[in-house]
Amino acid sequence: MSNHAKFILVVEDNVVLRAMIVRALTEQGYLVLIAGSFRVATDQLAVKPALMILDINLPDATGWDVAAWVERHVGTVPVILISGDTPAAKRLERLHPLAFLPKPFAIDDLLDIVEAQVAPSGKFGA
Amino acid sequence: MKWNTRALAATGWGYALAGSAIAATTAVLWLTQAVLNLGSIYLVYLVAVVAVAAWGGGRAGMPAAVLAFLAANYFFISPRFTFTIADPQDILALIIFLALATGTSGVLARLRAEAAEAHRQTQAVAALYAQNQTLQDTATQAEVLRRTDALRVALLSAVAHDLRSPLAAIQVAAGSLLSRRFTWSAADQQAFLTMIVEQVAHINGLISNLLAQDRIEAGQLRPHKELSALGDVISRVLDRLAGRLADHPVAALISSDLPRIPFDIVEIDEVLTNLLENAVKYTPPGTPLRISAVRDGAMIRISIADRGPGIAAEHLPYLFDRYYRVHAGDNGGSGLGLAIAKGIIEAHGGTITVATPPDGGTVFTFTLPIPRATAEPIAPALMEEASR
Repeated sequence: MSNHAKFILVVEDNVVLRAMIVRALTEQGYLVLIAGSFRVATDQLAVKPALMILDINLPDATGWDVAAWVERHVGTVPVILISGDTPAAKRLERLHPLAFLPKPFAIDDLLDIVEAQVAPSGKFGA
Repeated sequence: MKWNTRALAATGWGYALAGSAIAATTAVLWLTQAVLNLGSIYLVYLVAVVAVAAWGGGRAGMPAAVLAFLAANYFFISPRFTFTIADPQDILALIIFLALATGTSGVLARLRAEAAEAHRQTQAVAALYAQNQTLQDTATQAEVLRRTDALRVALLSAVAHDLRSPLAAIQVAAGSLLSRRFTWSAADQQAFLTMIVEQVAHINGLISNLLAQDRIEAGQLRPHKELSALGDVISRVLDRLAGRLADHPVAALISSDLPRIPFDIVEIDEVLTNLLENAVKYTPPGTPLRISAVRDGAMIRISIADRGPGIAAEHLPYLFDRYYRVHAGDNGGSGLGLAIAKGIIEAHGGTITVATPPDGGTVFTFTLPIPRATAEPIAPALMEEASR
């Protein structure tokens, strides 16, 4: 583990869904930053997140755009994709996310994947 | 020369026609020869040959001419019943007859063939035209079907996407309540359940809206009007859209003297949501939005103004048409939102308009009528008194 706290960036424009995901993650001891758009997401990326939970449909761009921007400016960050639409197989292959969770998904499924990737900051300490 | 059976049959038919026509003519001339001179006989034969050529074409006309020539020689030119001719005058007359008969027959045959060809061409052109028309009709139908299909697919995918986000929120909330990972406080549980109920109502609104489309089409939108405060609906919509509106400063100017008026809360919520979401979708982040509701005589006037790039004048007349989209390339809209908004507002007895002010941006304005009875607030107690 590195010395600074690891955090998860949740990029989702549906406020209610985002709030629910964030509530579950923080309850599990994760540090979470949120964004509802491409622009806000890029503002939040001054520090490299340990994981991104990324919605594909955003008001000002797509989750693919966010992933491409992160790859270019921040480095490789594991991604869990969430979407109400089924993404094209080619794009999924190129991005190679940890998982694609079609909406609606079970919170336990999301947390299983998150836990396998990142240890909660609250439990490990900084 | 190659002969096929059809040509052969046609030739056979031509000879038969020529033979029977000249035989019949000869018989009639034979019976009436007492009153005829040779000149008349030639003329009658000539008429017969021309008739045969006119009816049967060159294949019948030419043999008829030759047969008539031979028959005239054999039966009517002395010495009779021989093909010899005594008088040189008769030889000349007969040769002239042959030339005249074959010539006339040839010209007639050609005219007939040309007429037939012209007719055939006319028929062919008519057939082509009919075929082309059928093809065009089929193509138009196919195009209409294709476009209707594409619209249906776009609509369905837009709807599916709109429904899945609130569904996902419900599933995450319910899943969090059920998961063994968490031990939620009573207050948290209450908040999650409230959220679930609200999201169910939101999904139900989306479905009603979808069904409203069909009702708009059938012109039978019937709002479920309840006496309500417009300001409350506006506040609720702004709260719900807070996330989407995060990048735009929003100024809400709700006049304090607005009476409660009867309207369908879900439908007006949908109109406001649609107009605000459009404003967010089609204006750059950072540009301000302004929503206002003011009393204007016997109606309330609600405006949503943005400071975006505006809408080109050529689009304005069609903006409220079903499936009309200004931004054809984007995959966000079904092209139904504004058409539904118009249907809803008109079913409420109001109007909806769009304007692009000279100083920029776009302003959508709709009105809702204030019924005479509700124009002045009446105390509930007084109403009870009056109804007794």
